[in-house]
Amino acid sequence: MKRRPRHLRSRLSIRDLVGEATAAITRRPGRSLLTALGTVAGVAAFVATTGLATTAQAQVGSSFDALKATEVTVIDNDPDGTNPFPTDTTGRLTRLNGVNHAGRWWTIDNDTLDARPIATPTAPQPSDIPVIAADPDALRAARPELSNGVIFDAWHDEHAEPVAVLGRQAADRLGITRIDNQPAVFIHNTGYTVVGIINTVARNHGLLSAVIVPAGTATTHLPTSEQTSYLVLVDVDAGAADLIGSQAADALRPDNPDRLQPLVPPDPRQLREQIEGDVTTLLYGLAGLALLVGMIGIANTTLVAVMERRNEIGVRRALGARRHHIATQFLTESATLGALGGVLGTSLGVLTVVAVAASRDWTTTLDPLYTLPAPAVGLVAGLVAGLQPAWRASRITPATALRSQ
Amino acid sequence: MNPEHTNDEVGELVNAVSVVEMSAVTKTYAGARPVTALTGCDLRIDRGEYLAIMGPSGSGKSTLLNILGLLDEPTTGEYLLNGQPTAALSEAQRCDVRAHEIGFVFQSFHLVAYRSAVENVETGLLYQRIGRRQRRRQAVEVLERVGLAERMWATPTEMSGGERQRVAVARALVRRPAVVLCDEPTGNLDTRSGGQVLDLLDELSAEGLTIVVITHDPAVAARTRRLVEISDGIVTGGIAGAIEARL
Repeated sequence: MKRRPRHLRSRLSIRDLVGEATAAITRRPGRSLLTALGTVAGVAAFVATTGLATTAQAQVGSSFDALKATEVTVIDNDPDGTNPFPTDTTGRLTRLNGVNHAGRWWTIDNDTLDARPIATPTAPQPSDIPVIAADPDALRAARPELSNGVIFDAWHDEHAEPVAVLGRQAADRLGITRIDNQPAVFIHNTGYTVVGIINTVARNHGLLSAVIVPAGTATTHLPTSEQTSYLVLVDVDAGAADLIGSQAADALRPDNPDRLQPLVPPDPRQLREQIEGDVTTLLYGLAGLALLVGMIGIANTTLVAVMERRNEIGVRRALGARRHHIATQFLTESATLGALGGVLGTSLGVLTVVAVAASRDWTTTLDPLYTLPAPAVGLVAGLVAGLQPAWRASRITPATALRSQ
Repeated sequence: MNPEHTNDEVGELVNAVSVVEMSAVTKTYAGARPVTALTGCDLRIDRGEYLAIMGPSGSGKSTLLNILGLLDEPTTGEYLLNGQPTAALSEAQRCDVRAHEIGFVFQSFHLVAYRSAVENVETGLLYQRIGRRQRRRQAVEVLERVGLAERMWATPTEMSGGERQRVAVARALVRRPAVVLCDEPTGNLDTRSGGQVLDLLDELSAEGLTIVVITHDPAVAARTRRLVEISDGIVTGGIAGAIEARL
């Protein structure tokens, strides 16, 4: 038979297609919501997880402040009770480019310690106040702020002078609030003149509860034990930590660099990449899984809808709809529902990220790369999920569909 | 017949009045045990006829309706709709013909549940090349014709069975089809609503519409002007042809 004239051919304009799909979606809001629910959940999970990942990353970046990045600690790999660090540790390290302050410190064995204020010899004595021996430059590396006096200096250190600096909390416990009256603390019945009180430190907060004496004084007058662990604290320029870490052992112990181990803070970039590698992969995996579940949800409910709407499909076919008219209508519906679910899910996901960030006092950081295309992800999910049901719908023969009551 | 006409001209003259011409149409459903639903069916329906195809259930009525409406194809035999042979039509072309030349009215109405009456009627024009506004205008006109102008915005769930069936008739009517095929149009209705629908069909027939009613109910068949009976897939009275034959 010859081709029918164009005006007698069955057709469905795009505008009508959209109209039919829109009506099918908006006139059955409950069913539509149910269908879209899977995509809503999937896209919300996707946006929330990626959003939380970027927010957490940004958080790591900002909390990983300059302070941590400018700190290098050198520890003793093989403690044997002796001090592995040379007396001129400060000199050896500050010669390195990028080192601001460096010095040894160690805690003196508590059991043998008896630090007490001279003014109250008969009062119950606090004996659990730690005594720390430190090079003057080790104290400076902790970036202290003093409320009174000064930090002991190299001269005190070299001459093993009986002087001490008190941390704020130690000073409170010892009842020492001022130094102009030259107070003293007793350590092993030797009086140590307090030359300064440290109010705050930027790092090594343990210093605040301790009595700190010069390393030279401690080496000469105070006992050590096998348990004593010696450390070197280095304050370096930002970005120099890795370099100093690689040089410190050789600078300190060229004879036996293996005995020392520099501890360098992880580079924030590395840390971020690591988080990206571990957590983010997991989160993206979960998000993808959620999306997949959402797609299965759409496919399932659309398939159910196709079965429920067999009569409608039959009528449309009887009224002249071609197979592809039916297929495109169902595809349009599921893609639109997917896109709507995507928009809704994106909103929910963003809200989740904002809520979590707010509860943690974090700054919400969203990567537009993941957030903006999320509705499109929903659309694609809806489209893909709708393929099979749409195909099924288009295969329904009108004669059979119309027989069912 | 005027002897001056050539054979071709005679053919055209005949085609001009016959909407349906079936000869020796057979339908066999394939299967482990093939079922023959229709055997050697001859049927001619002229323009403007109002006829009933009556038979008990399982007699082959639905098969005949499906073939008439191009929802199904005959296994053998020839079917001319509006003078055009249908055997060679592709699936898509059958859709084209359905979209323009056939109106369906079903026993269970088959309205789209979530669309209003006027939108359901518009669906009758959806697959034709007719603009949105034109569709709406025609749909409103036809709804007025079937007496449902007031109920235009009601959805099927808000309507009585009789109203729904009138919407379905309007949907079939709006496309100005060559033939309206009604499958047990009163089957789901009480006597009063059914009577109203049949009254409507009477009126439409009086206006010249070609209507085929398929029914098992002699009372419904009695309202038409010609009776074709079908039993065990065999059609009797299919070729009586002239309207007077029934009278």
